[in-house]
Amino acid sequence: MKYRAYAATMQSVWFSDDEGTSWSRLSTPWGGMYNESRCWAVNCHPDRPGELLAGTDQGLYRYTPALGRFEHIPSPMDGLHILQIARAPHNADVIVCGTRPAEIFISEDDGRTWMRSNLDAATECWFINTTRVTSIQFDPRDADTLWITVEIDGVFRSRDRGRSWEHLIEGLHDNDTHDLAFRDHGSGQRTILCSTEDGVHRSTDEGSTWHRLDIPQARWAYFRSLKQPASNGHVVIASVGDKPSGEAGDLLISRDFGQTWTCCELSCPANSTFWSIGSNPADATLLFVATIFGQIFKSTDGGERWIKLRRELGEIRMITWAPVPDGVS
Amino acid sequence: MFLLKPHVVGPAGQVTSPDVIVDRVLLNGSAVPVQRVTHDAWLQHDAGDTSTAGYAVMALGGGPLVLPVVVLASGPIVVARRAWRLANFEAHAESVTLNGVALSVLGAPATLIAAVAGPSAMAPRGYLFIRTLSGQAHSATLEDSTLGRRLEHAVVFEPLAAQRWAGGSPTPRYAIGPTKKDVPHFI
Repeated sequence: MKYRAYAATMQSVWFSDDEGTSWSRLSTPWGGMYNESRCWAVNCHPDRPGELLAGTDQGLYRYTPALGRFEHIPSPMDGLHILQIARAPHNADVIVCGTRPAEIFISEDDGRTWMRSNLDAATECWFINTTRVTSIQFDPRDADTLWITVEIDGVFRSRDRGRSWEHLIEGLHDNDTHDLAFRDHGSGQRTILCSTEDGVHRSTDEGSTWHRLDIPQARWAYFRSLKQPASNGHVVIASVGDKPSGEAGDLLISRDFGQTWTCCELSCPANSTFWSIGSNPADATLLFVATIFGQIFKSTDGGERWIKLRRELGEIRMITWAPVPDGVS
Repeated sequence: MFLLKPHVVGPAGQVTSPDVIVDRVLLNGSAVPVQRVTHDAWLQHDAGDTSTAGYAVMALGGGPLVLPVVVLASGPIVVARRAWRLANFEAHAESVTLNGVALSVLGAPATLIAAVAGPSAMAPRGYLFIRTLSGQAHSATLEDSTLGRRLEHAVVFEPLAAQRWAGGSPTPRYAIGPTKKDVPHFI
């Protein structure tokens, strides 16, 4: 399968068409995006191969293979930092973006019009000054339900497609929340995992209460990204680091959705916290992970073993990949 | 000053993205404060406010840019983030329209520049020239029938009376995080 990998960095978006061996940006004269723009988020269109959304400090951008460049999408987020982008699994025209300060913006027509959601996140935080959205998830069972994490303000859920939100923090040791993973059991029960600055928390009551997991294999408590290689799978990978930027990182894998964990095998030590794990439903065995300070590792066995790639990219905030057919530029 | 951030689309689809400082604005020949200029196309709007479409010419080293704008009577001059280079259509400017009106009828870009800089001069550095149509409009579309391309720019208005929060705006919250422990608060 031919695929393209993407990295959102503090110097725009990088592309790799050779399985991560080499990476390049679009050329400044025709690329459509300032090459030193800070980019925090990338999102691949599920049905249009090669199409990508990028969230930056210059606004929201769309890359299309037909044009071979980024085009600015006018939106009310132009003055904000666009940190997260999600598309609805049931309707790819529904786009949800999260920003700093922590706000949610929703388009239901592929970016032509936007609604500012009524997210009542904290407006000030002594530790980071300004709160920000760290993850956006569409509920795997209910198309009207959205989940987000906010740093530093906990977990929020909307049951009406972002019109109103519930704040779900009971039991969290730490409201510095980063990511969520969902596992729906055949019995109708559900387990949700939430990564935080102080460990992983689990909820079995739709987020009403959270319980911190004991994970002795983790050298540090700072958990960042959670990723299920297969949708609704029992395998989940967690990224960890010694602190938000840090000097070291680990990857942990659980094959029973958080009950037990083991350390993943890395080909060399990480230089900082593992920040983002990239997966695609087209192949649950192929994964990329990036440290915040530029290292990229790849796994071709579903996350058990990770090989560091030669190329490093400076500060990386998100990494992902998607299949691209032959002929897609 | 205002930082203009246009994506300049060339006739072959190439895009350059210069950031340009604007420090002098001429609206229909009259100087207006530069702080009226904005890229923010999502604006609160009084029911009595009116807006018109126009186009702007921005002096730049590689040749002047032309951008669609929407000008509100209450003040904001909303400039698009996309632009064309005047040199790419000046030779067939008679076939370029703004909301269906030929630019030559409205006042060709070169005449806006010449009014300030003289007939053969370059547009002065930092100048943004704006010419508007008459009549109400929330959007401005430049169309070049010779090259077969369009630049669309629309402003989205939120009525002043609109209430974002049903039942009143909530009180802003403060997050102590992380770890919920007692900490010194540097506020």
